[in-house]
Amino acid sequence: MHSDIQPRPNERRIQGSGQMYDLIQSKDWENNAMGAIPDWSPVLVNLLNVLLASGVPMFLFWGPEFICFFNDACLADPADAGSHLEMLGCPAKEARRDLWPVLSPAIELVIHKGISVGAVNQPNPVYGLAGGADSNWTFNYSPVRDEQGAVAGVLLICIDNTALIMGLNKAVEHERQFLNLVTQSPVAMAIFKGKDFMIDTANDSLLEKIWFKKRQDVLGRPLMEVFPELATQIFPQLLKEVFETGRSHIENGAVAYIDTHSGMKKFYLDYEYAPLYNPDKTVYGIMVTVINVTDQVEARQQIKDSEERLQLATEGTHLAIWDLNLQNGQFVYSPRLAMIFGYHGSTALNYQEMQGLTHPDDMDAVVGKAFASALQTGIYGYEARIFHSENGIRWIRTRGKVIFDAEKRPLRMLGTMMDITDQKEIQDKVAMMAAIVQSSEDAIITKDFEGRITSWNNAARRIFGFSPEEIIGQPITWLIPDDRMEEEQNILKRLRNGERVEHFETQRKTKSNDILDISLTISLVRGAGGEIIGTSKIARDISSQKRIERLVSVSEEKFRLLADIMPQFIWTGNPSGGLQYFNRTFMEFSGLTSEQLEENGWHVVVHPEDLEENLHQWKHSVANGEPFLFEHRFRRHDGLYRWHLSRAVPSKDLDGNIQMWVGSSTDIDEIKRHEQQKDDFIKIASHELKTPVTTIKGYAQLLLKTHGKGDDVFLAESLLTIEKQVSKLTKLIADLLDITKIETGNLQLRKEKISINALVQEVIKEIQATTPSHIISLQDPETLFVYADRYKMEQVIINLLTNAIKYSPKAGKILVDIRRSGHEVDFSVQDFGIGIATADHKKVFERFYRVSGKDEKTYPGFGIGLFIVHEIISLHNGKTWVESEKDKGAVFHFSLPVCSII
Amino acid sequence: MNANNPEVLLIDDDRDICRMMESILKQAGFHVQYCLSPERVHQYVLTLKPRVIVMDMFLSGMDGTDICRKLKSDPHTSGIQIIMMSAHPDAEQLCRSALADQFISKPFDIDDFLDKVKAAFASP
Repeated sequence: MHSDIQPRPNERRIQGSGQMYDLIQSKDWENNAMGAIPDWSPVLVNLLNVLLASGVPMFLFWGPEFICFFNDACLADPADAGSHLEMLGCPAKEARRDLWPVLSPAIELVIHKGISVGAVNQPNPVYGLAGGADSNWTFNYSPVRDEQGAVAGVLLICIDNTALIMGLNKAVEHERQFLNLVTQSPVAMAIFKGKDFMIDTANDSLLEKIWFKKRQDVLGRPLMEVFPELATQIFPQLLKEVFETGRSHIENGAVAYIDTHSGMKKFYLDYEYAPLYNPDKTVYGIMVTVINVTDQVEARQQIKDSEERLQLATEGTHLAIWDLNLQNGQFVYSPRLAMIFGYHGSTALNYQEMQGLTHPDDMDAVVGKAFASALQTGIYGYEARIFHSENGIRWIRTRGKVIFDAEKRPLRMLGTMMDITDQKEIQDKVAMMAAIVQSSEDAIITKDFEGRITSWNNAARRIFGFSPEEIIGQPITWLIPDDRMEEEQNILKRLRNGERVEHFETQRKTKSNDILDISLTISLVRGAGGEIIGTSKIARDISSQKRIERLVSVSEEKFRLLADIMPQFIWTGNPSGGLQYFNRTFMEFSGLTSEQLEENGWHVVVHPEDLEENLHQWKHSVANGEPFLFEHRFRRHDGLYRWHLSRAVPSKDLDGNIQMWVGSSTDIDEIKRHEQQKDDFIKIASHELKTPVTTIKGYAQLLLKTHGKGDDVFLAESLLTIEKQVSKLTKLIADLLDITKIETGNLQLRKEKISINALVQEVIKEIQATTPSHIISLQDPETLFVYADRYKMEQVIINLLTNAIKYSPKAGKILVDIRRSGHEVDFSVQDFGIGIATADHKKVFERFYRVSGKDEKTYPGFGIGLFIVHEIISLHNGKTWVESEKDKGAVFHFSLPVCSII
Repeated sequence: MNANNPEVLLIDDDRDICRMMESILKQAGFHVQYCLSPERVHQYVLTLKPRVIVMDMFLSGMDGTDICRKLKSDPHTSGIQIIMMSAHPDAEQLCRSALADQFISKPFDIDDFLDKVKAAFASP
């Protein structure tokens, strides 16, 4: 370097290129303090040549006035270069007055002391240097000596150290951070050095929160000396291993016992032992980082405990827990939830599936509503029905909370679910019971053992007049009349003895002190454990019932009085036919007392001959609820029997159930005797009439037999006429008798299976023998049998045929027809006579009906023939009818059931 | 049985009827005796030993059914065929319960009457 700046005259000229070179060359130096270039010091020229060739920004301040020279590198901003270019050749003091205070101290120092001055990390002092105002620079001011060795100028070399400064700043920052980390970080840190684990560094965190020591007490001392308690723990061993192997050891939640100010304590620590290496890769120490996680562990432990407790609680209450993510629909729940729906706890249900199991009626109305409300209020809750996979419909209760983010957007919903079907049922039952109690017509009252009223229903209010507010808590004696105060104790005594107190009739008083007739049913009320906690009373107001009873009793009295003065017997029976009441007339007649009747029954009064049928008929009536009508003889107190007609009818309630039988028996002995006399008279009369007829008929027939076939025609015809008229007389007598029998119900039938065809044929043959005037023709395509009394049927057929003949005197034929009609035999006799007006069709079968009008005298008779026909057919369960028009003949019919007996 | 013994004994308190029946039976070829007095019935029966008795139910002072029952219960007379007759409406039932073999109501057709008597002789 030194040889380069040797002054040589041929080289005393400026060399190079660039803007500053051009400017120096073109500058009018003649008029400058510097003088012309050739006069410049060779030191200066050489230095300028170096300066101009350098890429490093350099300034040269030359001479006593510090004339400014600089190079292109200083013109970082070409656009701005113009203003700086003027600085060339100017005294520094004038060129940059603004910078002179910054520059002058350094320049003065260099000039006067002859030493280099460096200013490090300066802000950009020279406007125009690259990097702008933010850049950092190092300025080096160096003395430039002339040939004589005197300081002739100052060279300013500008070094841009922005990047360097930044790197340095970073390092400083790292250091600072590291220091913070070690000394201020909440993480406790320490560095142990050497095999004895000499404590080299320990931060406040460690000292204060874990070691509970002061720095001066630990630094520079071996670990084991400071913490003798560690000898029995695992840490020294671990440290030793790290030191020997060079491998870190990390442990979380390790338990350590440390002697604190307040004695040994258990700590949970997360820690790392990291080896510190020498440049030769040998371990010289260990950096320890320790985090005290005792609080977290304990908190976690507590959380775990409370989770377990909650789990236990939820299992105990069958409470399911769920968590619905409202952002993505993710649904998390405890196994119990699936079980509520009847699935195994491990079954995966999503939110939609769970909704699908909700009862459709509750889905929108209850669940949907609750959900919408929850999004507004944050509180979710409903009770709804779900479909259990096995047990049908169940009730669930859901409670939950919505978690919102900062913008009030719902994020999650957390909650519980519980099967409340049983509770619901109990609630329903309780509600139902309460409703029943409230709606009961009977007063239902409970009281405790001090006799204070504890509940009071609507009917109680209605009956007694007290409102629940007035009476609850008041003594029951409010309701008890003064003269019945002891009754309550007696009732309690009976209850305690296990007796039942039901429909106990007593009296109670109302708010207005009216006395009511009450029917009480009292029971003990037991608590859940079976202990007696009070009594309940059901009180029925029977005042009106009592009133009615009194009315009934009055009317019964009237009835009895009425019954007693009746000449008839009046009696009543219970629904099963047992007789309970007989009036005085009956008592007087029979001479029996009520006690005797009760003991022996009424049977003893009935004639033994009538008793069997009597009992039979009575049982029939009682069993079927049919009116009873019977004639029987009752024994009078003197042993004489008298005929009575007894009638009884059932008295029924609104539902048609028999309540009682009311009967009467009327003395018909006189009537009966008269009837019997009439009956007997007719029998005797017919007997007496028949006796002469028998003789006449016998002789007539005998004579006909012996003389009827002789030559004496007159005799024969006379005998025939006698016989015919005698037969007629016999029939008239028989008819009269039949009428009597029919009227008295004594016509006895002797039924047998008979061929109606054969019977009709016989009768026709008989009639034709004596009545040649009409031809009787029979149509009977089928042989039919009936179950009937042969003699009576014969009588019916004779009556019908003789009638047909009698009322068709001008016709010559009678048509008889027998045919089957369903299950009936239809018999008909058709004549072509005078006929019957429609109005008379029913009447012809009445007793003593006779043809009226002009024909009356032409057709004599008793008017009993068709009556007998009708009655006999009726007794055979058959029907009789006529088809006829006046003057157009008549068809008489009867029908009988076809005999099914083979 | 000797020739004088009547085969048929008629018992009726009405003489005309007895004679009428006697005529009919005689005409038909039967030996006939009649008894008008019920008190003597027993004697007649014991003496005459008839094979058939035709008896009215109502006899003056006596009930034909009683006589019938008595005859039927006596081993000496129980073999006699008894035909009861009456004009009384309730008679047939009473007679049958008095063990009469047959019944005929008055008045009767003589052919029916003869048929019944013949039937009585035909029975063992």
